[in-house]
Amino acid sequence: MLVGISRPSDRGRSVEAVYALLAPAVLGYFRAHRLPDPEGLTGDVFVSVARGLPTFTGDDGALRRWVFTIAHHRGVDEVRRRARRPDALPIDGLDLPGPSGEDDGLDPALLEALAVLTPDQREVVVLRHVADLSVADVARATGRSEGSVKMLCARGLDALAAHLGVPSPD
Amino acid sequence: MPSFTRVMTEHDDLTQRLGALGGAPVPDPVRDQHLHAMRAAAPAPTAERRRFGRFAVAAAAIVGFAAGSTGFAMAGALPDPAQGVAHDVLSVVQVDVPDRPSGHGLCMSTAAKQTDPAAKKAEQQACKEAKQAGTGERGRSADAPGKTGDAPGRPAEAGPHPNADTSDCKGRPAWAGTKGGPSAEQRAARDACPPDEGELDEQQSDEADPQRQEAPATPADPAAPDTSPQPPVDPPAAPPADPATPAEPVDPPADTPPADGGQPEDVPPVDG
Repeated sequence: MLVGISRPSDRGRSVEAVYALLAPAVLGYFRAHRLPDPEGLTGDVFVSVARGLPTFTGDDGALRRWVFTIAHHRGVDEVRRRARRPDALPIDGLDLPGPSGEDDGLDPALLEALAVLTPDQREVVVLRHVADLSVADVARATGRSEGSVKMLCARGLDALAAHLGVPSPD
Repeated sequence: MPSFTRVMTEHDDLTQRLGALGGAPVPDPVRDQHLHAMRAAAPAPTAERRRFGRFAVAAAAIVGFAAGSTGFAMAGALPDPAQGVAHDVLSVVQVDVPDRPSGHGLCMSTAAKQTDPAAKKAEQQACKEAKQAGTGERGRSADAPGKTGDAPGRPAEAGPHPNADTSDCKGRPAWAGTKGGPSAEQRAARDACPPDEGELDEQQSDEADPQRQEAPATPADPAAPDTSPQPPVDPPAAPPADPATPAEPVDPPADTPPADGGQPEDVPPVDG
């Protein structure tokens, strides 16, 4: 489905279609990075998407890569902004939703385990598995080589497994 | 098996949990808020309309320029070359704009450069008609004293004298101003003119110099207005005299055309 091609006659639907397709992944991306106000950051990302969507051309893969590039930059800006504010709450001090009986898609244990990873590992793992980008797209979005992406992803998954107590095959 | 693939196989459950984190739906209130902000932020005109805007601006600029130029042309405010072009172009579409102004003096001097007597006479006649049409240009008057029998100093705007005769015996000779001088036929034609026409005699016409053609208005005819002829290029040979002051008997220079008609009686007439 080519939702990335802007059609002036149904531009509104295109915007909604893009949101329906990618908003959950973007929200999960910000949640995985344990950034405060992930809903607000998601809204900022899609406001930028709405402004640039009329001039965007490409398939679904290019659209996903473009949206998560915006999300990655927005996340980096937010981290830098909070780093400049001495009174900003530390990320670790934020209350994360605990386990609930409802299937709301949140995995507190996983979110807590992601905090153990280094920022580079977390970035790559989240883009690769939460945003569902390919290795090449992750490399392009983060400005790394594909080999570096693979290495960081493998080490990140090992660290998550170790923290979550997933038994190793060895 | 490559290490990366091995890792992926071992951590399938972990990757599935990560994938589920990216699949959790956005709460409805948050979704509505986001969509509202997106619709407000989306640009209303499309790129196509923006491009149309550029074309519209360019078309409006062209139309405005054309309208402005036409307006200037109709007011005669364009430079002479442009005014002439505008006259020629707009006349095709039946739009009447004034032609480039043609100075009568310039016209006459241009006509005087013709070597063909017939062509020269035709151009001079055309210049007179153009001036009569009301260009309003003040050129070197063809009504210089002694030329057409008009009173000296007759205003150029008055046009040719109703009784002006455009035959070879009137006005400036066809060969005046040329280096070659009159031909035998021209000389004979001039000799056949009656002596009281007030024309230049052969000697004076042969020596006539465009720079000396402007004769001062001699004060012979007090009734005539003292309007000195306006030379197009050259300064007058002598300052104009005061009509109220009777002229002293002064011998005119040899190359100065005699006063036409209203010579004072005490000034010896020049043989014609």
